[in-house]
Amino acid sequence: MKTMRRGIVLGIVLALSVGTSAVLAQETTTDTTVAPAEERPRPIEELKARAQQLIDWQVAVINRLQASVENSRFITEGHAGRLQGGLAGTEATLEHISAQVEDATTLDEVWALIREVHGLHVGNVLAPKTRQVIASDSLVAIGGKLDRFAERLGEWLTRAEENGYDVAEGWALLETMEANIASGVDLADPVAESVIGLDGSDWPDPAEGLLAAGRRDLHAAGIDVREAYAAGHEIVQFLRSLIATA
Amino acid sequence: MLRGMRRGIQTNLAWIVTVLALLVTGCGNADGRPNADPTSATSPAAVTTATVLPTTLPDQSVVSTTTSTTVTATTTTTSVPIPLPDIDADLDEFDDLESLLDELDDLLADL
Repeated sequence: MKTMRRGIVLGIVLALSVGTSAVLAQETTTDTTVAPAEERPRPIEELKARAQQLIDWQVAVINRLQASVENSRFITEGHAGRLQGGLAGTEATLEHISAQVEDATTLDEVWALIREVHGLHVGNVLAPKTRQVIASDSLVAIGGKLDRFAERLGEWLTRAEENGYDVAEGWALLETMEANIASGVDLADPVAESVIGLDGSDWPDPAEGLLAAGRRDLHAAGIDVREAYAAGHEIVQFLRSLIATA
Repeated sequence: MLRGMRRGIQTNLAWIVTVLALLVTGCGNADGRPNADPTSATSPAAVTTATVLPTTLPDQSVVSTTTSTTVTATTTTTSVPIPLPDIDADLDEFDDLESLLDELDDLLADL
């Protein structure tokens, strides 16, 4: 009888422990099956995506350069035409490379196409040369307008002198103005022609040196033109003071 | 008596001629303009000479009287220059130079 009671208690304990284990096991299984397995992209797809990103970035730079040429008020027609032709050609090359990247089947092929994109040197050559051509033409055009301004101021000084004023100070300022205009235009004018023919294949030599020289000359020309304008402004003030004191 | 009258007539004639000469010189400026261009150099003196024809009588020798009048034109060489017109209206077309130079600065900053 005693043995029978022990058997019943043991049976109950076993039944309870087996049931609990089954429930726990079921919960664990559910957890494992719900979590999705993450799939890593294949290395070639990753590289292709990076190549396309690089191409898109270069195309965006070219589009901004095209807009700068189009919106420039002072660039000559000839220079604008040559720059736009070169930029359109580079954009077409990038689109062609983009299609080749899509079709590539090996990592080596994609790497070769990425190297081709870098070889165009959009950032090293095309962008700075386009900006230098625009700046060079703008400096020449503004120098021309300053020349006409100086001419008009000369007429005013002559008139004032004929009317009995002492304009020696005005003539000295006009001389400074004309010298600065001439120097600025002389520095800026040749830059456009010296860089406009450069392309990616010219990097680093001779493009690097020519672009550095162009940048230096354009900055110096900018200072000259500013000083010429300042002298012209002083002449106007001088003439105004003559008129006020008469 | 007659001699005294003649002398009186001659003196009066001389005065009349002098006054006429002065009037003739003055007529040059009758339009109210200033005497001289202020910018021009001093004008030479205007010299008017009037000769009084002799009044002759049959029993007398010819007496001739010449009166000279020198009128110096007053020239004003002024140190005040002629005023100039407004300069700003004539320089309108160059008003945009300042903004053009600002644009240029932006272009040069991007090089």
